[in-house]
Amino acid sequence: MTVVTDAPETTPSTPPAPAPKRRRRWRVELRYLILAVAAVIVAYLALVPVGTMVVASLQSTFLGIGPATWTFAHYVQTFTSDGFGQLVGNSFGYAIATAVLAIIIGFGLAWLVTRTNTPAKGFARVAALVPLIIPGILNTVAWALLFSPQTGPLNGLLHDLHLPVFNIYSLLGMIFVQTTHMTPVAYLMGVAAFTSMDSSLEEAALGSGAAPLRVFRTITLRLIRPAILSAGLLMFIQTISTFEVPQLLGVPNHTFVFVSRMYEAIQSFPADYGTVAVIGVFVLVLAAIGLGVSQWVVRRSPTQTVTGKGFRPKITDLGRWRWLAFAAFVLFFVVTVVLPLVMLIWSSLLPSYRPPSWAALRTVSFHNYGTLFSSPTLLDAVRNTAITALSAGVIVTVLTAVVAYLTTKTKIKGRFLLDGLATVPIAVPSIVLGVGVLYWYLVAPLPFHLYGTLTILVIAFVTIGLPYGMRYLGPGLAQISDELEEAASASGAGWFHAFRKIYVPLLMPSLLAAFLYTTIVAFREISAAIFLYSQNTDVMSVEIYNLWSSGDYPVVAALGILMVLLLTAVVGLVRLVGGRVGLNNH
Amino acid sequence: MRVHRFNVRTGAVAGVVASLFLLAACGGGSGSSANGNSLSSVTSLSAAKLQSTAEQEGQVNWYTTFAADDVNDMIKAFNKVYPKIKVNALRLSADQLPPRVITEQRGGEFNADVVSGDAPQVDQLINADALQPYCPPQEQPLPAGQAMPKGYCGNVYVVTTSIAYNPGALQKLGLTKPTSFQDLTQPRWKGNFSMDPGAVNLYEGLITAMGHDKALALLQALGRNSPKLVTSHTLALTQVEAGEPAATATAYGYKASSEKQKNPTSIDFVNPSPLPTSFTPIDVASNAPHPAAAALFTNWMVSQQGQQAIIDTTNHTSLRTDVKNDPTVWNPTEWPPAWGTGSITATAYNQYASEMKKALGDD
Repeated sequence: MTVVTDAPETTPSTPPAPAPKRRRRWRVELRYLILAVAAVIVAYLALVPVGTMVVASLQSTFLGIGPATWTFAHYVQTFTSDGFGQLVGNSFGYAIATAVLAIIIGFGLAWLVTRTNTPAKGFARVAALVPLIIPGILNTVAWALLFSPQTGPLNGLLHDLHLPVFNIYSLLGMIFVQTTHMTPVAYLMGVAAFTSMDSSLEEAALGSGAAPLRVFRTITLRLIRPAILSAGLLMFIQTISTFEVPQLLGVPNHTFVFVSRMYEAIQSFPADYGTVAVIGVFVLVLAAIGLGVSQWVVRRSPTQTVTGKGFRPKITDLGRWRWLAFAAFVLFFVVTVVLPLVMLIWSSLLPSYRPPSWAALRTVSFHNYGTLFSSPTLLDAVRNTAITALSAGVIVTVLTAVVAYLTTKTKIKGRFLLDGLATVPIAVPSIVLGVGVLYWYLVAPLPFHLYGTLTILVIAFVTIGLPYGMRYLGPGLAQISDELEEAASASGAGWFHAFRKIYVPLLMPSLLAAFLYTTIVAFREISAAIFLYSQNTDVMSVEIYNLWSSGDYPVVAALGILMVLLLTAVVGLVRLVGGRVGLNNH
Repeated sequence: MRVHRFNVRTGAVAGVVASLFLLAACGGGSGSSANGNSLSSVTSLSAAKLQSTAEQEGQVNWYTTFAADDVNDMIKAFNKVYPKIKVNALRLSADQLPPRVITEQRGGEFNADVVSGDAPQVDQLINADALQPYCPPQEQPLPAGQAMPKGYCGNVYVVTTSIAYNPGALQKLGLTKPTSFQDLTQPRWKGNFSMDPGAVNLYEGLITAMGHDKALALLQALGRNSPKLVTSHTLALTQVEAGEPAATATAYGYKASSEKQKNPTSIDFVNPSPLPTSFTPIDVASNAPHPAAAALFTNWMVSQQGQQAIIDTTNHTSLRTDVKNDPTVWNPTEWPPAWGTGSITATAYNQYASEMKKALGDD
């Protein structure tokens, strides 16, 4: 294998202390063995669901009786079917509008935090990030109740103000709710972009008398363009692959997008595997093209925003407008956190759901929370979620640390391919990934059975989390000078020892950040889990969807509040540990 | 020192491997394990021997369309009699049931032991050889003129489709209570009611009552009145109870009645006449991994004791004559049942499912 023949470039300043030959060879082999294993795992995780989906799309019958033949019939049938054009239109309209809105709001808030003197920045940062803790399905449920056309309290308010009511069960409703999900991610990417952008060009332009608006338009926006493009694409892909919003808000009003059509096809009888696979491949190709174009544009961008010269971003004085900026954060916090949580808490206290009223207030109790703790099914779901999410967090962190080392600290051939493979899952919508994993572990002639176990869920969550782990650990490792490892090597330390003693402590903030984010992603994940759970492997997000489908709103809300509390505890614990190693800087 | 480092590494590798095995063990995955038993080998056993064999198997995997909040109570009732058999329930909606079982079995994963669900969907599983013939000893005969597929006898309850409405919401909208499905086709009901487009059992009942063409025309008229589409009958009922929409054409009578008892100001229902009614078969899955436990569980579910537990827990309707049903839901004299067929071909099922979805705008 190529991987084990190319040694990394190391130029020790002093000759290494002689080590026994056999021991050194053993260490070198161990190092390459670990790296090779990590590379194989990443390649397997990234390619298996995609490959299975492609095969399913090209077979006359998949999981059927009798022999299958290779055919393009599913492609022809799907692309020429009635309503496919509308499906594409709905999906693109929904994903593009969400991406644009999330970028505008997220980058706008990021600019206010990093580049202006908006007051209470601590609150602003919290306000922009707390929504990440509320799982998408809960947020969707809460907004469905808040904006229920006739009984939703917010529509009641609009009605009282003689304004038209807002139909949450519509494309606009889907865009609104999905935007609240996506904006914190856009904010994070915006903060990273604005923080690393040298403001000297803007200062020079302002010093030359250019109007602030013109400076923003002609310089700031151009400098930030690659980041906007990358973030926009990520928002687009995540939106097009999200299950809960289209299923809960689109389907009741007959508005279908790719993901809800795929779910319907796999639930039909007999299951329409061909349509599922064709739409999956179609979305995958679109996402891959988008990712490729985005990276090409970013690479060709002449704008270098980070130079070797130290700089401090210029802070714009907003004057009296800074209070308006503060109000924007308060409004964002109220819309994305306060309103959904208040609605969930209210619903969780009722025997059966009723819109807020004095009469309903007299019926509140903690009965639903009692139900949670007396239901073995729900408690199992909590346990399974904790096991799978934390396992996925640990595995992604360890795996991507090794892969990131391979891609940033070695000159091994094929490292860019490995980097690309670890990024592939970002272009694979979770629902495609879930179906791909399901198909593979049903048809693959493996010596063990993973269907119906938590392992298959962990595999899916790890695959989904890989790109995010790389996002945190790649840059983190790149910042650590090679000299440290070289010095350790010169002193006779083995690679594993050096990695453990040098890289791990220095990388701890990035490791914790990667663990935290991938654990949160796994906690919230439903698109893949909905295909992979079984009778003993139910997880909270799926249980919430199933309870919602059964109309059990109050128990859904109670379970949701419990889920938010669990996530808050995980975040609090990691931050407590991370506070000692500088996690706050990440 | 060297030894110490080696131990750390070995320990770490062992830890990861152990964790993966632990995860693989968590959550069962027991469906594929063969235990040597088959359904045919346990059907001839005496009741005591069947119980002891089932207890050796230790568990039964039950795929069901019972409402989520009823499943745990049913398991508790079973475990009162058979405490040594763990029931692992997977709750699915009617339309999720066939693809789930088929997908698993086609992939070689025989995980389900017992399947209970709406007749049209269970029929599809029978057509696909996903279930095996079994007649529980205590099964009661079906009403005259009704039949299940040959060799498949278990029927766990029957469901009736009623029209449920919220009296307060009706008053607010100036609507009067509906008395038939035809009422909901009137312009004043436009957008004010919901339907589950997967309710093939309703369509079958309507076909029995009025013939295919008139039944389809009725569904199309309902579809033109913009019903809100819901994914389950229970969800439809809860939404009506919460005040929006004002009514639903796909409420199960048993659930509407029990909700009315809890919350009479928010929910009421009417039984159309004739009343769309369908069976809910219970059968043993092909290659069930725990056949004795499957047979024992099925036997108990259709027994007098099991049926009474079902009525007490869920308010479902039993065909047994030695139990007491809810009279507001089941009174064949007042609301003659329009039976859905107990056996439907895959072609007919797909045709009905497609027609219904198209008529209601869910395609």
